[in-house]
Amino acid sequence: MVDVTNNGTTLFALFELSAPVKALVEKLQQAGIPLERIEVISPLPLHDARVTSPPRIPLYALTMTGGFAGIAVGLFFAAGTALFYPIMTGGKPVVAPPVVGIVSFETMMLLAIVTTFVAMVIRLRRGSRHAVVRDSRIDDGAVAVSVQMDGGDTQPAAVEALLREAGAFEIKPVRKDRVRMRRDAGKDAEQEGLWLWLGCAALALSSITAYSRDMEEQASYQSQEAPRRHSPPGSIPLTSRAIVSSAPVTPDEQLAAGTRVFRINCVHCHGPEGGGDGPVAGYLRDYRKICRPLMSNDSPWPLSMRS
Amino acid sequence: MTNPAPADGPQIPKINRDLLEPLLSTHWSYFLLVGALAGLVAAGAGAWSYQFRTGIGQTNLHPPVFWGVYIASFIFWVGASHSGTFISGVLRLTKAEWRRPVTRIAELMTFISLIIATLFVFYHLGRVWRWYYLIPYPNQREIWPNFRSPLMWDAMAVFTYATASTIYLYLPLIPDFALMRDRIEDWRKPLYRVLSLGWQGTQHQWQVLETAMRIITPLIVMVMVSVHSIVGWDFGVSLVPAWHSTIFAPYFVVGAVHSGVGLVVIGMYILRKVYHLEDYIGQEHFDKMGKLLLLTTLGLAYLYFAELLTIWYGNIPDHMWVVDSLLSGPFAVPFWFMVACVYVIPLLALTLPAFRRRPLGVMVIGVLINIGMYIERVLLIVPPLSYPRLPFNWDTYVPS
Amino acid sequence: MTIVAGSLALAILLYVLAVKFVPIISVWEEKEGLMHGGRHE
Repeated sequence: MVDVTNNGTTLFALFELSAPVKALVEKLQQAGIPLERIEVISPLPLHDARVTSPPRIPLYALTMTGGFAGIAVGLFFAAGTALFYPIMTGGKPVVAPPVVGIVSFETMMLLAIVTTFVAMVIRLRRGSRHAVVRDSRIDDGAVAVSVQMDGGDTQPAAVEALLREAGAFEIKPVRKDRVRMRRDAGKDAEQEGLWLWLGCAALALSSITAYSRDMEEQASYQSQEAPRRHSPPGSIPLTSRAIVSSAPVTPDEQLAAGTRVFRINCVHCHGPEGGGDGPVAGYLRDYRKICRPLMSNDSPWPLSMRS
Repeated sequence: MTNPAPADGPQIPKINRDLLEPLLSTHWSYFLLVGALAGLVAAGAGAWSYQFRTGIGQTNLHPPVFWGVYIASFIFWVGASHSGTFISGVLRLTKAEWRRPVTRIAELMTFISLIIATLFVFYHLGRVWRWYYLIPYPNQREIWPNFRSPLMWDAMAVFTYATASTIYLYLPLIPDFALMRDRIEDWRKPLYRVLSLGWQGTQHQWQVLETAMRIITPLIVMVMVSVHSIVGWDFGVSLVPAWHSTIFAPYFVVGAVHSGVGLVVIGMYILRKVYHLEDYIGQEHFDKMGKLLLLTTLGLAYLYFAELLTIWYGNIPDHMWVVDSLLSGPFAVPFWFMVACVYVIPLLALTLPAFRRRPLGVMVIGVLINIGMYIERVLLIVPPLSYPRLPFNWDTYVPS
Repeated sequence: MTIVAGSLALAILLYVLAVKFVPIISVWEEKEGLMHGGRHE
């Protein structure tokens, strides 16, 4: 990894994907270059060349921490809020264990995944502070190895020889000023990023508008105020039933109105087809007697209720 | 690009070129398509604003049918979102090599269908502007959401799933964002620069990324199963005839995967045709997807049969009303059409190896399955609601 | 119905737009497949 304050030179070598990178890294280490100063950049993960030291805290430990925190959050919301502000509903327990389980499962997963993601992003960013050289040929299928020498006992020439031996098709030194320039570019990118995030935030904020408060916004009229509200359509005056009789005219309408009344008042015992098989019928002691008229063939109720 | 091409070189630059090509060049018909779709979206938005002003009664939702096409669509889209997690999650877990060209297509679908599914929740709310009651926050009335309600579980699960699948889409994208940051020189560059998180491709970064993916993949598969189980429990824990069933959770999950895989097949076919990706998405991929579809068809048919059989054998009148209305009642036509689309035709076609190797054929099956599954979701919701236990307000429902 | 159709259109639209921002086949995974002795016709 390149340290800009260091006076040493950095060698940057390109290899084919099939190059024995792992062996090379081992040789470089034997030559006295610490692992932190060697960087292998590839367009795809090189599983055979694990040239990094494992992180101090493994990622899965963070995941599990997040998961446990999530369980706690789930317990708090599903059980805690119910306990602190108990609302009785129909003889159900205030805290229902299966519910707490389900909610906690979701919050556990949520926090575990988000924690893993955040930790990963932080680690990626930390890693990218060091590596500096990008070469478009890497994306086209080359592996780059950059070796940073501290200028002391290791000889650039010896390192170069090692790189050549491993099959590097190009080796070039990376100058310090180039490194610095890259860093500034990185800073620019960060600023651009900041603006982008700010823009997104502004957009999100602008989408939040005042919420309606239904009742407060509805027109309300006191009893003596104009305009006078009339009773809703279909209401029947207390004093007269005249309106009722004027309702259905055609036979179809009459049948429909009758069906409706039948459904509301009769169907529970007499059943949808008038067969005396309504869901409540079984609870009546002498239901056969009650339903007989409707079960006969000349019954006026061959109603098809299923349409 | 230059210099002594590496041994594997000639292939890798080609991959770069081919796969970035759709981002760089745009055919005029693309804009036409975008315009047409935007018009449709605008019409939908207009309709929604109309529903805003005039109330949800406009949708013909009325007692006893309170859940209609919106909820069916919600289930459908949540189901569609299982495509990504199932295909890429399960295939990544099993390290199936053929997953590679399919995962991204599927993950994108997951992400987008979840957005749409969430929208349907909001469409369905009578007073949308009250949605924030779902958020558990300390408010002045000291009222917390009632977590005993399965709909509350749904809100939690869908939120978790949406977050997780966004992350899951994003993770394998990071190296690709870095590639585009280096290769694409237009207004998108700053976007990619931010999104690539300073990706360089160092072994440290690869290791971190791969570890994260290894951890998140199994987690998201579990979330996927839980999400649609919870949607299933929305129905299962109710007492509505033909919903009150223990089989609903697994049935929903398998059905979701069924339609999800079907959707991915459609996406694969169209993208392959339009962007000439025949080198990447080959016949074998359709073959494999066809096998997956066959598996889900059989699994779903098994569960559906088990569900209907127990109802039929129990012969409880409340439940039989619903089943009768499906098999021979007013819902018979869509029901048998659905059975043909979802079970019979896929089963007959996909068992033939020769058929599975025809991308067009598999795609058509995917379309049929999705039409069928959509009908199935509607049939799952409307008939049971149309026949409440007390028959006084039996009524049916036709979407407006 | 219009809302349902509009949402379907929105889904397709988002997908169509996404295609212009994101390579629809994971580039690096495809390369990785190549290294694993992939089977490309």
